[in-house]
Amino acid sequence: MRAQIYCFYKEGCMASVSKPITKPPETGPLQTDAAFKRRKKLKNSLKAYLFIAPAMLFLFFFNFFPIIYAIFLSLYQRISVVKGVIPPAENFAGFANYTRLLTDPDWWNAFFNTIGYVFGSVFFGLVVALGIALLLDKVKKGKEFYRVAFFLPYVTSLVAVATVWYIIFSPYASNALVKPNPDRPGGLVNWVFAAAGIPMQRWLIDDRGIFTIIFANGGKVDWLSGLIRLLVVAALIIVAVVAYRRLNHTLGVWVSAIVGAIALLVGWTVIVELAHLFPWTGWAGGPSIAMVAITVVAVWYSLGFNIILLLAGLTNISRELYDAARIDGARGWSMLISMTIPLLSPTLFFLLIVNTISAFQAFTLFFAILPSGPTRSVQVLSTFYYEVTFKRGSGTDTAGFGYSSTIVVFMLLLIVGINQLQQRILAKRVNYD
Amino acid sequence: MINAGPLEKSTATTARPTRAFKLPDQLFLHILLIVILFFMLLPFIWMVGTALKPDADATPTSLSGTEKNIGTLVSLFWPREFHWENFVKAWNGKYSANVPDVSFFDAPFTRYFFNTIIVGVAETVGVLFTSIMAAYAFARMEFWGKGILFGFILATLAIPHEATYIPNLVIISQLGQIASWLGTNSYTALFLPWLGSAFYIFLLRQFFMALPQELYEAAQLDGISELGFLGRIAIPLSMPAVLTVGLFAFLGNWNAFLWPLIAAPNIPVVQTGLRTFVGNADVQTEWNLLMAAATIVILPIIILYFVVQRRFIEGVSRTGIK
Repeated sequence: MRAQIYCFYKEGCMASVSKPITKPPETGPLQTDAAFKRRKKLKNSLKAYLFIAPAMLFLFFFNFFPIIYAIFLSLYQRISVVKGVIPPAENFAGFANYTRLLTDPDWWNAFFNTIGYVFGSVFFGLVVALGIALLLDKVKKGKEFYRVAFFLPYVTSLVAVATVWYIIFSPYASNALVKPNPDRPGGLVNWVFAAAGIPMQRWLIDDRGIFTIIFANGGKVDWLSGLIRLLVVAALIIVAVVAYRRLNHTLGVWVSAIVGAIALLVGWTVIVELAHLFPWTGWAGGPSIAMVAITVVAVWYSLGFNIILLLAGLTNISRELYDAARIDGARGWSMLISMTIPLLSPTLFFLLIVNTISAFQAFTLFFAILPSGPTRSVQVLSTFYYEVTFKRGSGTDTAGFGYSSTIVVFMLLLIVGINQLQQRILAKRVNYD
Repeated sequence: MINAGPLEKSTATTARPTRAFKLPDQLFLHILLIVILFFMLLPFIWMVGTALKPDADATPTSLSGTEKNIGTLVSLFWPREFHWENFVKAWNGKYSANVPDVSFFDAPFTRYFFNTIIVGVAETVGVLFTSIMAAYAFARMEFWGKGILFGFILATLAIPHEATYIPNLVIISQLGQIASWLGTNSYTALFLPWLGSAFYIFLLRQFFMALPQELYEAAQLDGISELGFLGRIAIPLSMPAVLTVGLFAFLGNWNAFLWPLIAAPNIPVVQTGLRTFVGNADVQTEWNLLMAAATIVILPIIILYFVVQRRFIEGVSRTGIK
């Protein structure tokens, strides 16, 4: 009896049953007329339509239709309050909104800020997450604990987190000091800066580029001390290389990385002095310090998400492959670059797309991290869109749903375009083996 | 050691006795990870620490001040005395002496929590209903235009939420002309646009498709209707997926910010409420109250997270939901 039930589910096991079973006669397609079949399908279809109707209704009205409607609205001007679904005919403006968008310096500012933010946050987000995930993958006991702990920031709400970071970066003490004051350095970051003797910064509010700020304080060049420090750097690099060669795999990589970082720090002081000779203005000033601060928060926030997915990808790489590569002589970085990363490429590719799209749409962080709203250097597309829609004077030419719908259409095109581009370029190199 | 799992990674390393010396790798790893983790969780530690401080201590003073010792560093995170009443003050919105006392039911955060939970429950139940029905139809039923309709659903996946805000606002205000409980500044406005979700349909469909066909055929032989099969067999068997979807729907609602801000400014939910708190406060508020408010908003989610963390992480790593 048991065997029979088992055989009922498993194909091709009939032979194992001792008693010969007569196979049921082969039945051809049922002899039914086409009309009956069609009626049955129609009946089934009606039932299925009832099942999908609620979801389709909501998706159509609140997801699909809005896109069409946004394109429609982008052809109109001076509609800040929509009285009916169709705006009055005299407000029809053709492509005026689009030409205006392309000549609007505020739009271009927001556009380039967004591009910079996307590159910075996605790149650093993935690199840091990969570093931590590689470490986590080596842990034998307590991996679960780290997974839960590292994921924690990602489940918290961005508005609350932005409030915390606003205070961490704040240059003010709570009782309204206008200038950074070493005796009351405000937030945590400035406290650390003050303690380390580094000039405190007006994070989140300062539009000056980061290179402008760093290199402006370079001071005069001290050639002798510069030479000595360069020698120290050379010695440290030798130590790093030796440590990397001599020590075993994990330890070697990390000791060399730490010694290398110290070398970089010492070398940095020389670079700062030399860089003083060059004027760091305009594009050379780099991203604004406010953008850097916000990118740090963004990387921190999405770290948990990236780590979890990378870890899942790493666990799928079989241990035998690692052992085979090790026997072939792969160590440390060469193992990472020629083996782990190619095998991880599907996960990395997925994360690249998801992170890029969500970075393009980032709004809450930029909007909520400062009570007064984003300054010019951290105005991104979505905050610019919000400002145009809800903040600028209503009823005038500068504001309105028409112009902001144009922004939306552009954002949509950008996101879909970048998605396609990444698919085309990267999909070829991704190893789906 | 009995280990039936995959080959230990260190086997090849230990096979080479030529190494000069060897620190316990795992210990080193744990120390490194704990240090990274500490920096990662530092904002939360600082948040709770600052929330509990007395007003005067909430802003850190510089090392160049009078006390130049390790105590100053510790006092950045560890309150000198614990002021639990900061949480009560923050809950009641009493960020300055001018704000009058309120009863519990009139307190700002009571309203925020009430509004958020009502909307969250409605949205979660609604989106589960529509998504389960549609996912089941796409997984199990045959009908005309199935491919085209599913393609349509997949296409809406690419639409960012921001792009739909203005048209949705127009739709909602038009609905408000019909019935005020549907229009802007109504509870319905907060969840109505999000009742259809392409992603959840897609996710649940994958689960329903994985159910063995034999179950379905057996149920049909027993004369169980489609709805009966769905309710009595399909949903219980796909409970992990259903719970994950419900969890993410509720979490998404808890963290919603921009849509509540523009669609129903008169119905403050947790996030918009916290934001007005910051906006009003700006520089007048003591930081400890601000941090207490942030803690109040974050804490329920963290508790929920620790209760169901496995489902959270499994859900994310399996679906890549973001």
